[in-house]
Amino acid sequence: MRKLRILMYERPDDAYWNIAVEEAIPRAVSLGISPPTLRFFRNENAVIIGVFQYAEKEVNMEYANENQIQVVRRFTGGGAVFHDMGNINYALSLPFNEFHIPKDLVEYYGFFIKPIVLALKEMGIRDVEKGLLNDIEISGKKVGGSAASIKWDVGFFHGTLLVNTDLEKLSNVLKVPKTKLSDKGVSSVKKRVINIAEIKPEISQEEIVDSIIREYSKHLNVEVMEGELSDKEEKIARVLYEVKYSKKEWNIDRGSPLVFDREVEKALIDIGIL
Amino acid sequence: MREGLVKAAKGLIRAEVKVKEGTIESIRLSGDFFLYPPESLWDLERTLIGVKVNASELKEVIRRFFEKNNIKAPFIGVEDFVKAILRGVSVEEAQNSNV
Repeated sequence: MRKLRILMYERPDDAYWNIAVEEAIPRAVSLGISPPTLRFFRNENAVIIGVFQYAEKEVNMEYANENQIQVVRRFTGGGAVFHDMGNINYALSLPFNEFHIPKDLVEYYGFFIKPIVLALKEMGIRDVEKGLLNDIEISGKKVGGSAASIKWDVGFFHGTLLVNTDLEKLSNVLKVPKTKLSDKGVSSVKKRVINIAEIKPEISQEEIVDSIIREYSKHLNVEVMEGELSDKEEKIARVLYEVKYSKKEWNIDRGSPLVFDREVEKALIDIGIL
Repeated sequence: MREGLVKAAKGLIRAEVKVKEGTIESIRLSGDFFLYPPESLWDLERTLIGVKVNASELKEVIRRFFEKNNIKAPFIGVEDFVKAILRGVSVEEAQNSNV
C-alpha cells in the first residue's frame, strides 16, 4: 500500500522559516528525496499573502509592525490570511506519477478540498461546504482558505482552518476592500469569517488534525506514518529562507518568482541538491 | 496613483496603470486570484507595456497572451483584466494623452 508521511513540523515564532519549509517539501518530493507528505503547522503571529499580492495593499502595515506580525508572501495564489495559534495549516505534496489527480483546475481543487469538508462534517459540523473554488464555508462564512500549485510534477495543496483565531486581530491587520464584501451582503471581515470553536467549542485541534488525516488516508487510499523533517529538506528550506522568504524584496516588494527561483536553483546546485 | 478594482467570479484584480501618449508606460497587476503558471503575471505586465489603452486593443493582447502561454485562471477572464486596467488609468493621465 502507498504511504503518506504525516509531518508535524512547525516553528511558530518564525513564519518565514515555516513558509520556507512549505516550499521545501514539494521540491523535495519532486526530486524523489521525500515521500508523499501531509504536513501540519502553525504560526504564532503572521500574515501570509498570496504570490500576486502587494503587502501594502492587503496588510495594515502600521498595525502589523506595532504588533510584531510577520508578513510573508507564499508561492501560491489567493488572498492574505492571518495566522495565530488558533489557526491550523495543512499542506499536501503528492507526486503526479504516484497519484491520479484530476487535471482540470476546478476538479483539482475539489479533489483536495473534499476530505477537509468531510473531516469537518465527521466532527458534527453541519452546513460545511466548499465555496466556488478554494474556500471552505460554514453557513456561508469562511472557515478556511486554500491554494494549490501544479509545479514540479507535484500536486501541492495547502490551506488554513480557523479553530479559535483572534478575529479582532485578524480584522485589524487585514485590509479588505469594500468591493470584495459588497456582494456578500456583509460589512466587515469579522462577519465574513468564522471559527470552528463558535460552532463546536469542545473540539480540540488534535481532533481536527486526526480527522483530516483519516479522511485523506481514505481518499488517497494510503497508509499513514509519522515522519520527521529530513536533513535534505532542512537544507532546501535553508536555501529558500536565505534567498527568498527572509527577503523584503520577496515578501514586501513582490519580486518576480522567476528571478528568485533562479537564485534558489543556483544555490541548490551549489549544495549538491540539484 | 489610481487603482482599478474588478471583483471577478473568483478573486479581486487590482490594476495601477501609468499612461503616456495613449499607451501603457508602466503597470502593476495584483490581487487574490489564481493564475497558472504564476510567473506569467510578470510576463503579462511586461507584455502590456506600450499597448494602447483601449478595450479592444487590450482584449486582443491579453487574449493572445493567455492563448500563447496556455494560461489557466479559474473563474477569472480576459475581460476582467481589461476592465481593471481601464479603471486603473489615472484620469489626469488619460486626459493628457487624449484617450
